[in-house]
Amino acid sequence: MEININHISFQYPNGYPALRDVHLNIPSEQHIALIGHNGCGKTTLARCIKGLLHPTNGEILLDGKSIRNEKISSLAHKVGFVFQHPDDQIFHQTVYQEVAFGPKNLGMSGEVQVEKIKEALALTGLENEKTTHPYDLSLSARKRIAIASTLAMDTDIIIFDEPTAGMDHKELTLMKVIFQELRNKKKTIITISHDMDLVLEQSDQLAIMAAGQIVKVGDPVILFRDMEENFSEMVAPQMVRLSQRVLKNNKTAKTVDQFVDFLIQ
Amino acid sequence: MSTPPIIQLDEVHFTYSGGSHSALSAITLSIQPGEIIGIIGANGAGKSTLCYLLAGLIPSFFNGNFSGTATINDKEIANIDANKLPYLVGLVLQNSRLQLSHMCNTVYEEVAFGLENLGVPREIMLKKIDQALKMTGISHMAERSPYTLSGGEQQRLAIASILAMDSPVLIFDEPTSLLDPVGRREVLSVIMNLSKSGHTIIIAENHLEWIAEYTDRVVALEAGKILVQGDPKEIMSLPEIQSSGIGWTRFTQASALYLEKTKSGSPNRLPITLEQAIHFFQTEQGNHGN
Ligand SMILES: Nc1ncnc2c1ncn2[C@@H]1O[C@H](COP(=O)(O)OP(=O)(O)OP(=O)(O)O)[C@@H](O)[C@H]1O
Ligand SMILES: [Mg+2]
Repeated sequence: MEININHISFQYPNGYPALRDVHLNIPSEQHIALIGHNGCGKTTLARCIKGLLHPTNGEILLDGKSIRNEKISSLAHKVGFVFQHPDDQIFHQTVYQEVAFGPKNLGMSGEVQVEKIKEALALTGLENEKTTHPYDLSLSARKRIAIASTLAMDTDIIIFDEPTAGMDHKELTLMKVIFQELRNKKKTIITISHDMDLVLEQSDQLAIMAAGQIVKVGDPVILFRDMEENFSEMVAPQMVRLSQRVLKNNKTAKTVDQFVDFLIQ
Repeated sequence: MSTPPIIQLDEVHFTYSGGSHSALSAITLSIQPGEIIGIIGANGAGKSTLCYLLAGLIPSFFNGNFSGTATINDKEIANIDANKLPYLVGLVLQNSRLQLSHMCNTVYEEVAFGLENLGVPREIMLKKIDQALKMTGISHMAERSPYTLSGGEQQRLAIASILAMDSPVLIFDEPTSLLDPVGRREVLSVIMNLSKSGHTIIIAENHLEWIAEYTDRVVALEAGKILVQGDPKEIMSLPEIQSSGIGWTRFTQASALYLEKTKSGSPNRLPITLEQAIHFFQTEQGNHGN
C-alpha cells in the first residue's frame, strides 16, 4: 500500500511544533527507515500515519485516499503500529490473549485468527509463553509481544518504532527473519530506529529527520557513505566504516556477507 | 593491585522467589575504584540481576534466596540502610519509565528529587542539577513535563537524575538503548569520563562495539555464571562469546567469514574493534597479494 505524506505539520497542545511541513512518498512494498536525533519527530509522524494524531496542516493518503476522515477502527485494517514502549500497548493477562486481541477486533474468522496468531507467536519466539503473564517477561520479550500482536493483524502497512532497542543477538536474528517474511508478503514497512547497522542492512530507502522536518531521503548506502565526518566515529554503521577503510573504489558493503564478497572478488 | 577493591563479590548465588533456576550463580568478582566494567550477556543471562544486587535492591526490592557475600567499601550491601545507599551507589534502570518518581511536574524537579532527599546544601544541589541536565543534553527542556518527553528524552532524564546524585559507584543497565547514535556517543563519553574523577562505572550493554572500545574490563555472563572476563579488546571475539548468544561485532563476523571463505588458517585472535579489523584485513590482503 502506497503512503503519501503531503506537507503535514503538527503541534502538540503546549504549542510545540513537532512536525513542520513533512513531505514524503513511500511506494508500496518498500521498507523505509526513519532516523534522526531524539525528539526530532519520528514517533509523532508515526502516530499521524496510524491516525492517533491529526496533522494541523496537510494530509496523509493511503493508496491515494485521505485518512483525514477515516475512523481509527477502519484504519486499523491497514496500518499496524509497534509502539516504542511496549507497555503502551499491552493490556491482557496472557501473551496469547494479548496477541489474539487485534485479529479478533478486526473481525477475522476463527480459523484465520488462530492461524495468524500461531504464525506471529512463532516468528517472535513466543510459542512457549502463550499462558505467561506479559509482565512476568522481560522488557525485550514484551517488545516481542507487541510485535507479535501487530504481525497477527496482517495489515498492509506496518510501522515499527525502535523494534530492536534492548534486544540481544538472538532477538535481532528473529527480527531479521520477520523483516524478510514481511518482504515476502509484500508489506510496506516503516522502521524507526537508532540502530544504524540494522537500518543499513534492512531498508530500501532512508529518510533522515531533523527538528520536525525530513532533511534527506535516499539510498541508505549512499546517504551513510556521504554523511559528514562528525557522524562517522562509532556512529555510522560498522560495515560503512570498515568498507571505507578497507575496500577500494569507494565500494560500500551493506552486510557482512557483501563485505567479504567485495573483498575476495 | 594494591588498593583494596570497592566492590567484592564472593560465591554469590541468587534465586528469585518463585524462580525455578538461579539468576546468579557462583559469582566471584572484585572491582577496583575508578574501573570501568562492562557487563555483557544474552537477555536472561543475569545482567540486570547483577545490577540490582550491586545497587542494593536485593533483597529489599527483589526477594529471593541469597548466599555468598557482596560488599561495597567492605560493607555488606544488603545491610546498608536504604537512605545511605545513594552515598555509595546509583543505578540507572533499563526501563527508564520506572525511574520516574511520579511526584514531579517538571524535568528539573525530577532531577532535583533524589538530591533533595539526600539533604545536599542548596548551592551544591543547584550546581549538580545543572551539570546533570547538561551532560545528558536536556537543559533546554528543564521546565517540560516528564510525561510528554520522547523515548530518548525520557531515557536522558533517567540518566540525569542518577548522575545528579553523584554516587561514587554508578551502575547503568542498558542506558542508551533509546538514544540516537550521536547522543549515545556524547552521553557515554560523559559517563566514561566520570571514572577520571574517581567514580567506578559498571555498565550493562548489548552494544558490543561500545563495550569493546570504552571499558577497561568486560564480564560476560551466561545463565547466571561468569562465562569469561578480561580485556574486552582481547576476549570479545572468543567462540564462546558468540555461542552463548552474546554475538560478535560485525568486524569479528566479517573476519571469521573471510577466513572461512578463503580457507585461510585462523589467526590467534579475530579482530573486535574497527582498528583491529583494518589491521587484520590489511595483513590478510598483503599475504594474498591482492
Ligand atoms: N505530548 C507532548 N506534548 C508536548 N511535546 C511533546 C509531546 N510528545 C512529544 N513532544 C515533543 O515533540 C518532539 C518530538 O517527539 P517525538 O516523540 O516524535 O520524537 P522522536 O523523534 O520519536 O524521538 P526519540 O528518538 O527520542 O523517540 C520532542 O521534542 C518531544 O519532546
Ligand atoms: Mg520516538
